[in-house]
Amino acid sequence: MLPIDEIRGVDDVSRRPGHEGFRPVAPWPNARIPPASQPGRPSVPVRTRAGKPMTPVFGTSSPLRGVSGMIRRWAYTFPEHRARRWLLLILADRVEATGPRLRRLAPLAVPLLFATFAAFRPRARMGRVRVSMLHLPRDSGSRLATGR
Amino acid sequence: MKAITYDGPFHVRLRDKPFSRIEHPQDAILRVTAAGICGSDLHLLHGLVPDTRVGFTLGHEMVGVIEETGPECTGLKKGDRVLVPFQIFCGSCYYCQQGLTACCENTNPAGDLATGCYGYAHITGGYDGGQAEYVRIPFADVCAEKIPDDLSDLDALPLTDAMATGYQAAEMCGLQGDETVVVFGCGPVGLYAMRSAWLMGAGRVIAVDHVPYRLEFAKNWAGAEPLNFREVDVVSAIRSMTEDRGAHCTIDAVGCEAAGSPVQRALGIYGKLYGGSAQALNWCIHATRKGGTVSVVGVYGPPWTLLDFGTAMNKQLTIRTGQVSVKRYIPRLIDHIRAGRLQSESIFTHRLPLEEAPKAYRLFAQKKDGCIKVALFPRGEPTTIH
Ligand SMILES: NC(=O)c1ccc[n+]([C@@H]2O[C@H](COP(=O)([O-])OP(=O)(O)OC[C@H]3O[C@@H](n4cnc5c(N)ncnc54)[C@H](O)[C@@H]3O)[C@@H](O)[C@H]2O)c1
Ligand SMILES: [Zn+2]
Ligand SMILES: [Zn+2]
Repeated sequence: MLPIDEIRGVDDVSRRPGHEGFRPVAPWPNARIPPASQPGRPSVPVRTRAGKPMTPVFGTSSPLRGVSGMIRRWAYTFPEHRARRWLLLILADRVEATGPRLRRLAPLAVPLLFATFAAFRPRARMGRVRVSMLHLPRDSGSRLATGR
Repeated sequence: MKAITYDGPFHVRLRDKPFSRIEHPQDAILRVTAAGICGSDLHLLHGLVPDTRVGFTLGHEMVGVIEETGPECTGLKKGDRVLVPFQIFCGSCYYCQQGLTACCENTNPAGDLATGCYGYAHITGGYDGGQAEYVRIPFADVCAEKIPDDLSDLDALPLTDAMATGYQAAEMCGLQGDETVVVFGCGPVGLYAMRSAWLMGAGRVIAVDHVPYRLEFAKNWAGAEPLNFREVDVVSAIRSMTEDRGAHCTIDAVGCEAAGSPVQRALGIYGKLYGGSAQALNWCIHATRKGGTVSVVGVYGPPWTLLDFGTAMNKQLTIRTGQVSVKRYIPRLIDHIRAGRLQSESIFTHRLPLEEAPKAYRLFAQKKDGCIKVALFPRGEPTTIH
């Protein structure tokens, strides 16, 4: 790559593509006017602003689902200049992220849950509801608790 | 097909997803040969952009080979090697005709603030990204650009985003010659902005960051004077370097995850009470001389930012902003690459198979192992790198 001394000032204003008048106002090659409309359903709700027309193309990745989907659908009923829209979208993101979070925690949480359960078993045995004790099978939990 | 997907804040996950398919007559399907990771992907990864959905495919910098074309995508054919600008645009609307392809009004049904983008939050349209084996390219023969034979995939990859963004950042400074330009952020975007500022005749380029290896890179690769904001009061230092006035122009190439202010980070990033930290942008405002220009390419998400706007107003600053309208810059940037004025070989410090994306994200996010930029290869690294 060339040193700075040799590149300095090569781009005078007229050669910069963002410079006004650099390119005539015109469609780009291969553009269709108007573009054809994509069939199917977008994965974002489109009622975002009264009068906003449906765009000819749209994304279909990860459609709305579950509780986060309901919040998102609601959020998009508010236009962009309302803070409510963004705060609801942020809330939906946090709600949806609990899914993968629980999944990642599962390998740790499940044994922990068993252990906790087991730890409370002996106390249950001493409790008042003796009849129900007859139905409790011996499981890994109780073995754990009795130290076997 | 293999795809790198968002899996909640701080996690990406390799998933097996259905193959991309043609959904509109002007679509094409791209077989991705190389995909980049961008600073913007980190904002998504860290949960700072609203409506980032679990399971969607990340990635908006990609090059590859056309695998299939829709019936109205007549300008491309199977086997063409192309680069794909990160925005999706129609080429015919009011904005596109003016060259503002980053503002196209025909590709994002979700809102008006941005156009459709690949692998970004659903507020930009809900399109899957390119960190995958295949990706759907809407308006393919309008957006995609054939890669000239003398350019390798990695030469072309930064043209889709980082190089064009750095160039536009410098262009928005309106340099005439001999100005002092301060670039905040020594990531790929900032580095390209520094070299572009020289191309446009800057008299002095100062680079600000707090990652020592990146400051060193900016000094050697982009000829900038490094300034570490952990070691000096950065605004005072810049003023003392510029007759106590401040720089003519400053560039924010950091965006909403700026370090340097515990309050901004606590409220904006960890508390997620608003769109991230505006520390770099506030420094830009204070480090620019009265009547000067602040050029903002660092990304800020909605809803709002804790900005020192009163200072900007009183100092009569010009603030220029924008996602880069990539398409219009490609020919000029190819000229610069061919002439050896800009380059990407050394920027790609890390080249990894797609499967190793989780590790790549970690290195890039934590600024470890000398990482400047990562290229991911869905089918292994091609052997023909120049
Ligand atoms: N406008 C566009 O079209 C566009 C396109 C691409 C990227 N971007 C944005 O540009 C920004 C930079 O992207 P990148 O790929 O170079 O990211 P990056 O993460 O590699 O670089 C950001 C750099 O900023 C540094 N930094 C953090 N806080 C700072 C502060 N207060 N002052 C100075 N430096 C600080 C970090 O240490 C890091 O080196 C991101 O916000 C990204 O979203 C915008
Ligand atoms: Zn980007
Ligand atoms: Zn358009």
